[in-house]
Amino acid sequence: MTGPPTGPMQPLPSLPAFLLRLVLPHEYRDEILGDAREAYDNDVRERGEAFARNQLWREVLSFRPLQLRWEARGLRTRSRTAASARNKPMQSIFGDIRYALRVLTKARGYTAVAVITIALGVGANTAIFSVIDGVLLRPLPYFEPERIVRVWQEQTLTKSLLDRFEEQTRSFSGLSGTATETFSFTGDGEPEELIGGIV
Amino acid sequence: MGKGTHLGEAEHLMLLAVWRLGKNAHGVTIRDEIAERTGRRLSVSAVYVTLVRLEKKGYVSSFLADPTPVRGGKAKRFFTVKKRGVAELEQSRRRMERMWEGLGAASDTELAS
Repeated sequence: MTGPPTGPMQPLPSLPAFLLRLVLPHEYRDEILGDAREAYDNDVRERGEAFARNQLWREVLSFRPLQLRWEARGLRTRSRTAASARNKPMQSIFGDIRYALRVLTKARGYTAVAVITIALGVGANTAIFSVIDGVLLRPLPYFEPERIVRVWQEQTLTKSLLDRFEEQTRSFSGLSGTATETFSFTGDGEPEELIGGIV
Repeated sequence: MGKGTHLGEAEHLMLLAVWRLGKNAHGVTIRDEIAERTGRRLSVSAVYVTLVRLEKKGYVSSFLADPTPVRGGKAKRFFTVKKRGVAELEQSRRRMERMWEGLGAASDTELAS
């Protein structure tokens, strides 16, 4: 252990300091930031800056600051009897979350498998929903898509027949025809057969 | 041993560290004392989580000192053990000693590996 520094201590790197300030409970924020700065300064002098930064990030990314938030909340509401009675369900939820975090931290392998399983599940569901949304749920990208209908006839529809339908129709505001056709795609390599559409 | 009053291992270590340090017990010195004596390196927030819990149980009290420019104007929170905390430590020690009674060192005992 080194003695106390004589001059001002090393300031904390700005990003971890900002994040720490964000997650710490306001009741203990200043003294913990002061302690974190003192610990960081000690670590820099004893073990070097890389080690000190690593320790600081571990402090920021651990769930301890959040846990402290819950502990401090319990301390604050204890003096307010009416508020604490109302808050009991929430305290119980926080207790459950604390317990869950503790168990998950101890069983890291199990946690990793659970997280990966959930991630794959969410990914698969998102992919399936994207297809369903695109094909079935999302309206067609036209103005008033609910007014578009598809009509067809068994015999081949020629251009002149389509023009005649368009002239005589009273039920539709417009008509257009589509047809699928097989095309040969040729170039430098082997020719390929492609299916295309004509509108 | 009422529920919620007994000491967990971290609380036990923290309470002893605060007692040992006397008037100089604050976050960093408590953390260093535990690291030096047990080899366990705790984060500052982890130290505070346990200290706040001990304060809620009525085993320690704390006060804020004046801010100092050395720490960038941030004050230190000093902790002191209360009589109730010392009594609980002694009870805890007696409980442990009763459990250890009659047991030799691990090297003298035949144990499954």
